[in-house]
Amino acid sequence: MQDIEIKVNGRPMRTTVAVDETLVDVLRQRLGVVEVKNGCGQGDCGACTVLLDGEAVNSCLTLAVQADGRQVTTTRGLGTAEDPHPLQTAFIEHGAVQCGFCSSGMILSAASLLQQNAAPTRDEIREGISGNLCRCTGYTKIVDAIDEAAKAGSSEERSAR
Amino acid sequence: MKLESYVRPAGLEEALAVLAAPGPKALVFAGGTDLVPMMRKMRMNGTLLNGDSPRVILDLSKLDELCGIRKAGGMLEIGAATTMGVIAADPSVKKLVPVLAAAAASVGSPLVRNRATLGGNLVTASPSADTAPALLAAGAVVRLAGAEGGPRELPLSEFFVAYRKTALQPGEIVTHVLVPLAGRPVAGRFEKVGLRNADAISVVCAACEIELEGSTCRAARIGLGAVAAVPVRALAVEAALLGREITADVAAECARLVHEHISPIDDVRASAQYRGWVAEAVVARMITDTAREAGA
Repeated sequence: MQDIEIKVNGRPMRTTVAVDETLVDVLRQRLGVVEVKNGCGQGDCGACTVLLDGEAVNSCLTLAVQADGRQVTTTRGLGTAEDPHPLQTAFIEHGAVQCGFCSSGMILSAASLLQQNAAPTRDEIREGISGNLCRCTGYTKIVDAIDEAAKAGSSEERSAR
Repeated sequence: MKLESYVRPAGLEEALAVLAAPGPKALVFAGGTDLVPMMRKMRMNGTLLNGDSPRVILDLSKLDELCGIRKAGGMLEIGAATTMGVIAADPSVKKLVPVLAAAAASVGSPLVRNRATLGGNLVTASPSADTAPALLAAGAVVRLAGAEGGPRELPLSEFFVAYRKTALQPGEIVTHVLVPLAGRPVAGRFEKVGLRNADAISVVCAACEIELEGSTCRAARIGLGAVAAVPVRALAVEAALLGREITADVAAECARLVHEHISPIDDVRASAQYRGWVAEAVVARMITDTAREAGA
């Protein structure tokens, strides 16, 4: 077992983990960070996406010990119900959320894309979310939402607050 | 048996010392995109696929000596722990070894590419590793280091010795991948056929580099993945192209020789027969396209 400290959405959290425990399991089961979803557990579905020091990764393929001393941003860190991120607003307005299981990861992948490319084409948006599976929407409304958020200039760095 | 400790060494020397320590071999870990799912299985049955029961995770992912891309000694030197995302976006890789940039960009998804490393893709020695055919076509060399003796270098074509087996000796790791810079940029193509456009394991992946002299072929290198127990060079195809003026007909004729080098299998993704057809068709198309680019 190893003691670790992870800054989750700016808040330091400490816990003790087994060295082979994944970041998604530690976030959900030890730290109560349940907005991160655990889907396939092998990097295929993207439901567990988080930003690790600002970079979008599958938290099911990341060991919790590797996140020691680093920043983890979840969708809650992007925005809240009272003060939503433009991507979150666009997802709601476009009906890009159906069952909601993919939304957290989808929005974080989109945020990561817009940080690197503030004005993506629709093809670039599809490529940007290609690691995130959605079984409800058929993706069209998700791409619409990201497209609109990009046009509204959501690329500002909000995850660092 | 289970994993008990996690080591993030400060330098390469310390990493090699951990690996050389007596007792169960440490689990060499970088991006984790293959290893983490395997480790979960290990939690259940105590051993990895290869029968090892490591106790220590040796994380090389943040080792400065193994991260990054630079030119040195007439080679493009890529650290083994450099991620696919960094390689795919790197201006020198894109300009000088475009086949590698394209192969790295085709691996998994953006999320996977932010973790997966070049060294990991090679050391896992999966027949379908996408960067392997690109690096074979680019004539790449791998640099290996161990605690004893100096580092050694090996052509990538000699690194894959059997299905999921490499030439790494106990205590050795891959530290760098080297691509000779002489004559670059070289015209090249990388193609991947998967069951979908992203996050797919290749049915066939292939890469080709061609150098022309006037209008005839002076050098050709073709690498293929997912069609044999290891990634392979299509040497017969390459030899048949030498000295020829490459037309679509010549490309199709030479591509037929690809079957001398491949031994595809049936699996969940495709039948052996389909893989054979695709390999020949992809090689023919790549040769035509690459030769056209080289002559442009």
